[in-house]
Amino acid sequence: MIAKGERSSQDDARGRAWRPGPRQALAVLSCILIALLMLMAASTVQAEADPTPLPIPTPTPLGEVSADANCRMCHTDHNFRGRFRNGDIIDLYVDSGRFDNSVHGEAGLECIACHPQTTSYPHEAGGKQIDCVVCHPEEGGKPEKPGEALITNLPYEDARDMTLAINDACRSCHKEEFKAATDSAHVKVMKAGNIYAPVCVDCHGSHDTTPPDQPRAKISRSCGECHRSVYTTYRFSVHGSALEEGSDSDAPTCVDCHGAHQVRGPRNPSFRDDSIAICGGCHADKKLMSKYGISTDVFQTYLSDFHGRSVNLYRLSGSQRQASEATCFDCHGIHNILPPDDPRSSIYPSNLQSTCQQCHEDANIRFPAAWLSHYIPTREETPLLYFINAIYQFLLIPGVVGGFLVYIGLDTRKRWSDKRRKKRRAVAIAEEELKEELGDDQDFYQED
Amino acid sequence: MIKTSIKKINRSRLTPVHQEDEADLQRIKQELLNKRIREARKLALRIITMLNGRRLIRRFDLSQSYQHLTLLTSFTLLAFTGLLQTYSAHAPVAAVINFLGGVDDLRTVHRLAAIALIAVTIYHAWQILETWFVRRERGGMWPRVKDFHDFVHMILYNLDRRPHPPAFDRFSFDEKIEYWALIWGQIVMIATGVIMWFPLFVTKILPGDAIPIARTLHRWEAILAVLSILIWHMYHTQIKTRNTSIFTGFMSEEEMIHEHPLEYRRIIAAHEFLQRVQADKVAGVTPLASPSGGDAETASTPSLTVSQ
Repeated sequence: MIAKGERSSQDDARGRAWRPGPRQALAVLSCILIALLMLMAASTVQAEADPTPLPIPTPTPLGEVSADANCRMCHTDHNFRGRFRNGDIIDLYVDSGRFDNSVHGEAGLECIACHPQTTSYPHEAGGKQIDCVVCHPEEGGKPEKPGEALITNLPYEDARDMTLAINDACRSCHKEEFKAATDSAHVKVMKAGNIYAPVCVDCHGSHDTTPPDQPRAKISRSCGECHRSVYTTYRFSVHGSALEEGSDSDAPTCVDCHGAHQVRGPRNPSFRDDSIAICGGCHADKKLMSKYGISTDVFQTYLSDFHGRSVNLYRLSGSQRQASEATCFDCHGIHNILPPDDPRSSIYPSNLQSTCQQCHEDANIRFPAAWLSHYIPTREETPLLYFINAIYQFLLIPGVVGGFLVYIGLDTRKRWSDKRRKKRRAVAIAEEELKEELGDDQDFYQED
Repeated sequence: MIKTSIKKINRSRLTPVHQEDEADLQRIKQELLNKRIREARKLALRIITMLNGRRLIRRFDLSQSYQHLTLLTSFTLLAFTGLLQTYSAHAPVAAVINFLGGVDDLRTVHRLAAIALIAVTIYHAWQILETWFVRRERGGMWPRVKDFHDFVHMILYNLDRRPHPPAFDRFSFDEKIEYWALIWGQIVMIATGVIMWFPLFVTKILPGDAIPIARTLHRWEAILAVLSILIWHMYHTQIKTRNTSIFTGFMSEEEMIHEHPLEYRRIIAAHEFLQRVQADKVAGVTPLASPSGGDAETASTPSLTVSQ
């Protein structure tokens, strides 16, 4: 919802050009009267077919009255069209029922909340104020033919131009989202000159905006509007199918990996290194994974191995260098991730060699075994590794180090006690000699 | 049975029965004496007299000093760069790695140091083989039964059950433990390191499991090696006594008497032996024909010129 202060500030800005006086106040009142009369007339006029000439409304500032009633007067007409500068025609009909059920409608937003450039009614079109008669010939304009569209000129080059101009209005409320989007891949594409890069309304809709994640599968579907082939691949992946077919509300949608407003391009240098944190965000979450019986060891075992260790260090370095070592998606796939027991999966045992060969060209059939497939060594699966770990951990290192320490402890004790004994002996000898030298002159030294 | 008897017969036919006359005996004696002199020279050459009359004993030659320096440098670099990688999952360690220039540079340093370490190991192995097969000597590091006795003796001494510590020869048992632990470590670390360095080549010969096994061994053995060096080596060479002989090449007489009394005694004995031989030559007497002079007398003569 628009804050009240903001709207009044807009009014102030307009106030410079237009100062309300007593005449205008009268006009406003008359306008309300007209609106009421017109509503009443709508029910009666049609039946009686006795048009009483109505006073032609003078342009009225929208801020002063309940605007929506005015807007809907024209914009609920199926025959109301607009003509862009390039000659394209657009339907200016707005489904008010859908708007009322949208998030903005429910929040009680009025039309001008998103269309602030519309300052008066009937509003300027094509740069100059238009009269009601242009569209309503029965009030004295051109004769209206039944079924003929009412066409007004629009001050925009084409439909996209209009969308982009109006889209900026989202910023007045959704500041955070706008800020987040400034570095997004979509904005970059837009800045590079592609005006068809998506803006707010392309994903969220305009008059029919509903919460984007109800159901969550809707998120990916809206991305799929443009990214069709990626969406199709994703739709049948382990994540996509879990989301579409099951009641699996945790499965990642597009935005869970790519971000929503701050969406980063996958060719962004840091995306590759950061991807492990994206996967790890869920797959290292014990609570989340236990719901689906998925092991969280996968992330830890990856991080402790060559590939994961390298990628993680690159990620933490904050440099723009990309790790050449394998990330999660290099082996598991990106949008086409499949469960490991699916024969089409890149990590299905018989496909592993070719998956390794993506990087290790000469990898032979034995090479995939060099990786323990995220398993922690166990006595049953990998006895040799298990015993090496056990021997070093519990026998060799404690034994050797402990033995060394015991020996050194004994040695040190002996050296210190020798040193003390030597010193004591020297003191005793010196004492003895001193006693001899001093004779009886040192009686004060000790009590008897 | 038959074979050996034939052999005996043949040998007796080929080599004529030796008549040990006086001349032959003298010749054999001379040969044995020469051999003794050669051995004595080797030992006595290790005594160096400074201008102020103090004597130093050469303990290591230049090649050994440099071997140790190379090992020290490469080991330290390897341990540092390796352990950083092992514990890189911890954020401060990762910060250090990235401060030092990233994991790639760290790995490059690790591999360069590994090359140095492998090179010095090969050089050392070649030296040992040369000592063994060419010079037909056993290096002082070869384990003996005496080392075990020394070890038990030392423990008993430390428990106040023996009045004196054991007397060591060229290398004490703690030095031998250090050396053989190092040899074991080198074998494990080099083998597993090479396996990890060339995984594709290794899997052509060995099963893929070799690589995780090598990783695990490399990691544990590294931790063990670093702990051994820090605890055992540092204690014996820096804390118990400050022994710099591997860097300087020399030990003072006092240090020798304290740490390697048996070796010191052999060196001094060889020196005295040579002096007697020299004195006999000067006197024109057949070497060692004169009755041997008193030990105390020769030992007290400090006038040995630098014989290097």
